[in-house]
Amino acid sequence: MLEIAEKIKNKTATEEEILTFTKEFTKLLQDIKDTLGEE
Amino acid sequence: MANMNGAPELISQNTDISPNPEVALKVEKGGLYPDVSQDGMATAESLASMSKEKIEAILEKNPSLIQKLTPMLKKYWNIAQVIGEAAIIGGLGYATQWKPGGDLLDMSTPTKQVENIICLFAIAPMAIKFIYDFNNLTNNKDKKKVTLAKA
Repeated sequence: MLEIAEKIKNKTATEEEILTFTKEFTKLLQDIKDTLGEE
Repeated sequence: MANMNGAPELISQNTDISPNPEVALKVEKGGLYPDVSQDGMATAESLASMSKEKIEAILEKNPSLIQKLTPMLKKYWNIAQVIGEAAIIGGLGYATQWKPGGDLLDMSTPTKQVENIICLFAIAPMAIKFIYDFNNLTNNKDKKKVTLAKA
């Protein structure tokens, strides 16, 4: 995911990569939220 | 730039550059990928809205939770830093409120844990918003000319 973030920064990411990145970043936030919500 | 706690300094006085309202509207309506953008923004805003008291209560109840959270926060922060740099390079207005700095992953004390988690969560909505704004500014530049309003 970090690799795609670098590509986004360098404006070389494809639309598909941005979509993948978005999904994975959203999942990461959700995982953090779920972990906090476990308690 | 970091404050005394090592947390990112939020700079709110710089309002010279504003995000394009058209882009903001697109994000508001669900962005270029409505299926994921709404979920992403909802989750990000949910994290950003967590109060200090709530985070304190969760961590006090189970202090070992921080060990489970830290790797995820580290991954998130590494990405957020790159996104923040890109937002600044891209000239997106809200990037002026996003100055990474300090060691936000210093979870050595309960106080630092809570303060740093709050700082990390605060930039989550901006990170999501950036992804759509930046995509709009790059991938669609030939389809639709987008310009940022400048002072």
